[in-house]
Amino acid sequence: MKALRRRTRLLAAVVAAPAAVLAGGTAILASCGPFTDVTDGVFCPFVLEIFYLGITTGINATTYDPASPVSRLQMATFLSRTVDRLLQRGGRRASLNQFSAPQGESLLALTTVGSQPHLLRSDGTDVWVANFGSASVSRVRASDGKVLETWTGAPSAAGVLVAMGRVLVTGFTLPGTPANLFLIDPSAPAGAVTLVASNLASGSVGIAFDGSRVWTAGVFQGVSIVTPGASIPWTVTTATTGFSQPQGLVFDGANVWTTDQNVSRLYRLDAAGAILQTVTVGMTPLYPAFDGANIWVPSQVGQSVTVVRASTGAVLATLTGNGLAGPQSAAFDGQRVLIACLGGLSVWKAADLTPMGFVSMINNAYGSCSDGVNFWVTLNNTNRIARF
Amino acid sequence: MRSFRRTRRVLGPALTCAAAVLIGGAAGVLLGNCGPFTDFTDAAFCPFVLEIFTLGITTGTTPTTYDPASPVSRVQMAAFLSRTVDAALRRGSRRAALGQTAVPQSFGVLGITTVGAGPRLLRFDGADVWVANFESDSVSRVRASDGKLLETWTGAVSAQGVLAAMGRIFVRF
Repeated sequence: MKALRRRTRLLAAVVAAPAAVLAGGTAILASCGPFTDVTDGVFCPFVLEIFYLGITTGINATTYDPASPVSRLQMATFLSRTVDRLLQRGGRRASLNQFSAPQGESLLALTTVGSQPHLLRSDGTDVWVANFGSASVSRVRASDGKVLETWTGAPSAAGVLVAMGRVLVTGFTLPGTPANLFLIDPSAPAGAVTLVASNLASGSVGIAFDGSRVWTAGVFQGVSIVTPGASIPWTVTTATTGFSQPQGLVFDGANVWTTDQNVSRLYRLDAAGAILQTVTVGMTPLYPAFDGANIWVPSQVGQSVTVVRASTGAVLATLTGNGLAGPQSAAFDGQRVLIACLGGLSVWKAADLTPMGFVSMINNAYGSCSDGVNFWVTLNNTNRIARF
Repeated sequence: MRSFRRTRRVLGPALTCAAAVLIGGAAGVLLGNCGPFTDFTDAAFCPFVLEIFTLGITTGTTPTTYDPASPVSRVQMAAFLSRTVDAALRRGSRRAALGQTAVPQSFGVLGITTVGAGPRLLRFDGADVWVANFESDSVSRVRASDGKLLETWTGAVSAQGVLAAMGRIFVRF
């Protein structure tokens, strides 16, 4: 047991894998970097690595206290800092030296797209924007914001999905009128979109993919499940039981979830679209995002974001402040969550739910997505999208 | 335009666009003295514990206690480290940033690109995929983001293997 304790603190140093190389430093002259009490050379590289990464500072400037056991509290600190450092260093933003975040609306790069841009998605290289008012879809190069293509023939284009090597777009309709699903082959020359289904739940906007089928949320009717096929039209089934006004959709790797804006609920759905679990969230939930563990649900009237653990459906927190005035949609970039609000852009640290900043805007932000480096938001009252 | 206005009414009551900047942010719902945990005495450590709780690395020893003073056994540490690696990889990948949480479940939903005859091995250069076409003696360059065939290089008799290195593409015959 004593040996175990002695080893525990040293093992805690092995949080990050590859061994650090001892070279070049002149200020650090103790037996292991700054630490005079790490005498086992085998463990020194691991201790040094987490020291250089800022995961540990030692118990004081010159001692690490290698033989002491680690409490659960200390362990939490080490692990939390480990996740933070990995995400800070491992993202594309780090390799592109993009550590800053715009501090004002005037600093956002703008691209003019079609009329009344609604939701948008990135395919990793380009951003696809549904232009509600001009019945079109814009393809914008993410690296410089240039409009590359405009696809036409998509009335009331609202939601966008990148899946199956294709771009899928929902076409919103009024109550009583079935909604549409449009398909774009992004490798083909730009032209008219292809209508692949015209019998979605009316008012479909939100859209998601579960690996085999496309899901859409129709605010006037229910949730539609579309099975892609070799021929057109694709098969559609629509679930209506229990839904009031389903709006946004997200797939967490196991289940599809939908917000129901009229009753302030988030539903976990089974493979047939039946409601498996109901979670109460803030008033008027719209377009959520999944961060790998939790679902962020922006609630427009509630002026809040509800963070829900996807594995259990437990509400972890209800976030307020940090500019959450009229939150519309959420996007995750690997480290941060951006909430597009009617009053601006609210940014949060996904790992611990703390606010990272807020950009006040005159224009209304509506849809949001990440391309892995920047966030993109639609400004649907100006016919432009902004890069954050 | 009229339908759009109607849409916005349906999508949610209009709010004023006043750019009221609220100072800071706040989290509610969890009612212990550190998130769900009631056994904390040192507030300085709370953010770290909350972070690994939020990430799913720990659930506490019970739903309301974390037992902060207890030591960590090697088996517990293995669980913590395993979950930490999983959490970091799950969040840090490009797939997470692009919202690509789904995995194709059948051939029918794969993105398909037609290349040369008898494609063998292939490599990615960070933007495009290079494909060795054995039977057509060629190499196809396919844009990864949308699967578009960008170029076809000829004269590679019985092309089999591909390597992207030194800013060049090497093809094994």
